[in-house]
Amino acid sequence: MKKDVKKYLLTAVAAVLLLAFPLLVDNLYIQHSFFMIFLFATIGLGWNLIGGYGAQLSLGHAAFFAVGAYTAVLFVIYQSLTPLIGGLVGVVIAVAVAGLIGYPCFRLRGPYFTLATIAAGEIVRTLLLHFQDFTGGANGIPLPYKGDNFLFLQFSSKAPYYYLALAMFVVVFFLVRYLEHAKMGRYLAAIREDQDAAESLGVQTHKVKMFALLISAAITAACGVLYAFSVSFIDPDSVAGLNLSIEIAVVVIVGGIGTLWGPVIGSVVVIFLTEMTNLYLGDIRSGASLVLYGLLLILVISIRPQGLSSFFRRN
Amino acid sequence: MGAILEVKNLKKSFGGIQALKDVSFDVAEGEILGLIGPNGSGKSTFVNTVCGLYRPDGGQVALRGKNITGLEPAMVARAGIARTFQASRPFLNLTVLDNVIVSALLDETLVDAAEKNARQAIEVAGLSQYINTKSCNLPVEKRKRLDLCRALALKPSLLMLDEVMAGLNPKEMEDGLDLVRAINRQGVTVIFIEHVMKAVVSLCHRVVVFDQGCMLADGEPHAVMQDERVVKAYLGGSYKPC
Repeated sequence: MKKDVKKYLLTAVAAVLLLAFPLLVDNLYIQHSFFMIFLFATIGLGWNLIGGYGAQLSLGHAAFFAVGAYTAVLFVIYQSLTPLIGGLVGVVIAVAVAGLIGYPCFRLRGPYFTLATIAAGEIVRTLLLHFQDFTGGANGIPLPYKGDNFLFLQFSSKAPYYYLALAMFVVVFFLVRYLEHAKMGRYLAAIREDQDAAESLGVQTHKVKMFALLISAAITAACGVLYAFSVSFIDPDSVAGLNLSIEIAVVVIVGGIGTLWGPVIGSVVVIFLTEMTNLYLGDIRSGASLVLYGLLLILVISIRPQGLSSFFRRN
Repeated sequence: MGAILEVKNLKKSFGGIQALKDVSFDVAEGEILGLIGPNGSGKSTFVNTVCGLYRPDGGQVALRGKNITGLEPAMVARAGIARTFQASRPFLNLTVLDNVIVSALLDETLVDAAEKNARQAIEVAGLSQYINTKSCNLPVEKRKRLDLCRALALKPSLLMLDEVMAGLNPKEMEDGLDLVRAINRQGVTVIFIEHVMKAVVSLCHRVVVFDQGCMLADGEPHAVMQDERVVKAYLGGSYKPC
């Protein structure tokens, strides 16, 4: 009982602090960093569904992110369609792409799914580069400013993006928390432990994995939409590159793969480090953040392979 | 009583080795059928082929008249056939309860309802004191019981037990046999694959003997044990039953 009160009190304090944050800190860079932390925590939660709970390593989630981002932006540019609808179309396309990857791969065992995700990421990036008349190619595509307008997800300050990312994070966090303990989470855990045994118990493993991947892709694409409108400029390397796919996986692996808090803790640590190195070392050595990344990954894997969240776990 | 499982001309080869050559027999509703044979005679291949882990090269398997040949393992389980693995395969990082909930979810959508059924199955299997133990911390005998318990929670009409008695001491084996009898009394047909003859004779209503992928004998346990061909295949030609 006492523990419960303490838990609720802590949650309430955290909620108030998070909601008041943009009012307390008006530094745009810090606000943006927090936006990125929530964004990556959300993508990480989504990635974890298939990569963590289901143990099907994806190194191509940038494909879904890019499909979401580009679809919403291109609809604004060519059709002046609100990203609230264009983004939804992006999510649907990303889910379809995920279906195309999952359908052949989830009936196979071994590294095929991982290889297919890498390929999918590269295909999306190459297509974006190839159809440059339509997508802007390697130069990327800037978002025309339509004024402070919720319908076009454009705001004159950073705070609305912060709140949108926070809201998305909260929704996805509770969705994943629910799924983790529901039938799907139980089945994914069984698949992670022993696929043959799971199948002998009636678990249709390919369907369960597919379902997890589709939800994962939808979440990632929605994050792509929000990201595109918060930075107002996207290009293939930043939203469809292998780097991003790896970063997503690293966030979760560092934080704790297959755990609810892993992506959250991983995002706080990795994004904080990335932003700090970009801020202080960016001018000196442009690759500094990558070196730090590698070091962090080596440290975590050698000292705490279950990820940082395992420090907080009871027993 | 009618046949619950009908196997006709089942064939399975691995490379040049014919693990099952034209196996045909029926399993009657409600019986405990012993399946014996020397190592490599095709017993486990038979289980894995019926359960869909291996795709048969020919032949047919029907459960209560419904063709289930070549279905994927999950669909075979859904049709009503549960199995245990020769080497027990619990979900090592899950507790006993969580292990059994996975199978209890076959009939339930909600975890709470599945948990209730899982607790019942755990009690029947005599694992209640380990309910919150991670299965990697269980001794071998309890792991085998967990395998059995998981299979039971599927509420199967046919249960295939692949060497569940191997490695158990006499007391554990006796308890295990009682459990199988209790399961059978609830109306579950059992195919009992075993090397331990004492267990087979005391438990089974009927015995089928495999040798080199063929069916060698089929009949009442004591009669089959006296069969000269069985003795020769199983115990070597020099063995003379007294």
